[in-house]
Amino acid sequence: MLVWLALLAASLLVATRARIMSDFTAFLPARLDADQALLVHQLREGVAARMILIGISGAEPGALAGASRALAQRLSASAQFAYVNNGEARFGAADRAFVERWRYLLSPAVAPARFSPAGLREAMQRALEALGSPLGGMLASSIAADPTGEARRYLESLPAAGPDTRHGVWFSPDGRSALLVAETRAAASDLDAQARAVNEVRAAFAAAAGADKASLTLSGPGVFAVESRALIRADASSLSLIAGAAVLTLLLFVYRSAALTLACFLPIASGILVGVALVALAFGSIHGISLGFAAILFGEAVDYPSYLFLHNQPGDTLRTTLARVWPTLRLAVLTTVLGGLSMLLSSFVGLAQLGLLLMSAILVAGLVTRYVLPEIAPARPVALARLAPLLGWSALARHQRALRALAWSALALVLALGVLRPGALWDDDLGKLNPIPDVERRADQQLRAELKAPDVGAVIVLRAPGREQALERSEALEPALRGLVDDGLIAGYEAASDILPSEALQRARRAALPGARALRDALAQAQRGLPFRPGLFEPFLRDVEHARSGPLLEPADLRGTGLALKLHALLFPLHGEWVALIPLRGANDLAALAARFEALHAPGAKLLDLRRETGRMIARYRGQTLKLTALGVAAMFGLLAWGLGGLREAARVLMPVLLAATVTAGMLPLFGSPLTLFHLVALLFVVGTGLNYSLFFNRVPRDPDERRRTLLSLTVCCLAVLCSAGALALSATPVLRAIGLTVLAGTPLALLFSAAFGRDSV
Amino acid sequence: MRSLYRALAACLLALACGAAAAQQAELAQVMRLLSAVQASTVRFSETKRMAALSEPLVLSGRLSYQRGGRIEKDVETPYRERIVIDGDSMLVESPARGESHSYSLRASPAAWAFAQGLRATLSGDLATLERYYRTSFSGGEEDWTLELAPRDDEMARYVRSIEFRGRRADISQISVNEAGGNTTVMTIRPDGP
Repeated sequence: MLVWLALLAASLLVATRARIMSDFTAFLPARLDADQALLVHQLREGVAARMILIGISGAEPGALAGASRALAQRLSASAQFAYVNNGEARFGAADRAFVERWRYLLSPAVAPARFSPAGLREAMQRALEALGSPLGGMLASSIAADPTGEARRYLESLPAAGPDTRHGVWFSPDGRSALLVAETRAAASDLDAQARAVNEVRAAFAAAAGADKASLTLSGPGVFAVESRALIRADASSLSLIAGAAVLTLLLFVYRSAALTLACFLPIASGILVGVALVALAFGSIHGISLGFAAILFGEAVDYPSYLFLHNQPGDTLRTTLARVWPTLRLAVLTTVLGGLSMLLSSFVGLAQLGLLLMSAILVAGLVTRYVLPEIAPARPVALARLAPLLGWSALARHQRALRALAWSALALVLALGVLRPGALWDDDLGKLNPIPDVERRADQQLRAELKAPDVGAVIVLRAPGREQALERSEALEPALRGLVDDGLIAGYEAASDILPSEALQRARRAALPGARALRDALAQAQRGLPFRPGLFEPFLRDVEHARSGPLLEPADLRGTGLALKLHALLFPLHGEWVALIPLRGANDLAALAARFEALHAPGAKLLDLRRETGRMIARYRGQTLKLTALGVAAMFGLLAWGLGGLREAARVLMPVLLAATVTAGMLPLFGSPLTLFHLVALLFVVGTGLNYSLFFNRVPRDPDERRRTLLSLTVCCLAVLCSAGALALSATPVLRAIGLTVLAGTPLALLFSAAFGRDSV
Repeated sequence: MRSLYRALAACLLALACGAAAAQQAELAQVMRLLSAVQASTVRFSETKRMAALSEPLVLSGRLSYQRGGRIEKDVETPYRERIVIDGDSMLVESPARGESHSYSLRASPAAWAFAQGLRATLSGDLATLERYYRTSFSGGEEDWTLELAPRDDEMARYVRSIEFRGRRADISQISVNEAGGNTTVMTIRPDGP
């Protein structure tokens, strides 16, 4: 008793301070190989993950364009965003200044011939025509400094993937929404910073002119993470409340006693409190999904006190009832704990969390039922006659033979369908683990396609011991990449070496620049007969000399530019080596691309299809989870054999439950929801509860009254699970809904099958 | 005595207002004439005096306009170049080099305002014209001058004023005074041999 109270106090202290997480990448495995580590790094930190996609719609195009300009202006001024673009200008002022400063080391066109008299003569002719064009005076200063047009040439060489422009800003192809992108400075995994950024976008939009009629659509990983955190928090708390209220109503109806009803909640409340505290201690924080799962535990663990209270016959004390029920109850608790243990061993962090929560909550609930409840709860047997209507379904269970036949044919049907449509069983899309509603995911896909924004897709990964080697390898690969573009295998690519050329390439470009005297002579020769003012090209002579004898370009020189952001996304250190990513756009025929890439034999380079890679990762851990589940079931079998004193007995108890779980697993994909890891968790839960039913159905009752009480307790317990699972099935979060629906379908099946195969006809 | 001055001042003010109103009416009339033009092709000779050049650059060629905002400038001497302004874009073609580039006019507020001013004048669209420029009109239908001063700061950094001269719906001269002392004077005469 004292131990219990002390434990509760300590848990309360820890649990109330627990940090709630909702970043779905937290559910990913903790141990990763190099490719997977890169994947997770991209999901958490990558530039695509930091991007907020913004759509403004619902007004006439002119007003939308105005709102887009106002919004872009406000966001550019904010410290939250490293880069904002609405299509007005492809490059910002900082980028232009950077390119102007470093043009002779950046431009791929820099070569000796370009600065010969002949090369300069052509440049002079172009310069004259540029001056002669409308508003040519605007170009005068850039012509004087950069007559060969290196800055413009370089900027034009950068990939220009962007949406259509209308009224000067980006628009969706249908012209209904103006589009913007904003990249946060903070990583996608920094949820508080992401939340601030999202709020800032909303505030800036509200303050922007013409926004009163238009509406704002936000999308992107950070936005989703923020929204799903709010969603899960709201879901987890409101669903727990709904589940709690539903179960409370049920118990009040059954017991007609506030004391007993309250006592029913005591074990599981203690269990969840201890469980949450343990998870927080072991993992540093608790995931919102684990917390939502706690709602369903409410349904299961009111079982234990219910078995105790409902088996309480007139004239018995709770202690004597417990003495009769405990051997069975003990097995019920221990088998469920084993189920939790098998999840705890998973290398999927999320599953391990759920396992620990399940295991500790159930164990504590069992112990509290055993040691605390008999001390504090009153013995108040319920009147069976009043609750007779609840047992109506047992008429059905009397046709054991028919039910068994039904169960086997259901199994056969499900297996047959599984063989016929093997592909539809599992869904390894990482996105399905992402707790965002489908509607928003579709909106995101649309916005992403309209913005032609980078998506996880095909990417070439270059690994090298150092930054320079990575850049050199990237440069060596570029001719081949241009070949891929020419052959239509890809639409384009982005490479870090285009933004930061390797030192070797920078030196080669520098060597192509003539000395001050030679350049002056060549320029004089080239200008002959053209009406340029003497001395006009002094800035050009000065800048070339500066580039020739000045420092090389370093990453620090990019500070404050949009290009820096791109560079950091494409080139970064990871686990002691440097990684250069080359995202490929428009890679539709991946097989052909892979074949061509294979033939290149590029050192340190690997072509990855990120989407398939994530799927493979999920599949691998799903395989592991299945193995662990099988192990867990085997352990349950062993425990049952020990507890019931025989393999046959154990098999008799376990079989109907496994049958119910298999049929449920087979049924779910038929209703259009292929199985994910979370369904597996829910099925494990169904097995846990189902075993309770099966154990009690196989227990020999003392007399007909106790038999009816057993039936009543199982019925009430099943109803309680249905209440809480029903609440979870209402969730807007796909993961919680999946768990709820699985339990909702599986638990009644487990009850029915347990009755059908039970030793004792009901 | 004082009341006499006051009456005089009132008279002068009324006269000035009347004159302004009359000019406004003349401008509207010229705009009406211009708006009736469906298409036209003229020859031009353009003299650009620029700080970057030691002597003026003189271009000549053909200019054509189509109602709806399409303007084509074919430079024939001293080099060949074709510039087409249509909608949001400007196409620049160099036949000698076999190159052509398309630019978004919207990308530069100054270029956009310039193109809009040109188009609005040619099509007699006074409302658009006054959105981008302060206008001042002098002369009469038979010999008019329309001066445009950009309202947009970004454009004002590059262009001080644009001046059109004409007789009825025929524009005879377009002058552009750029910031920094660059001037462009384009004289226009009917297309012919």
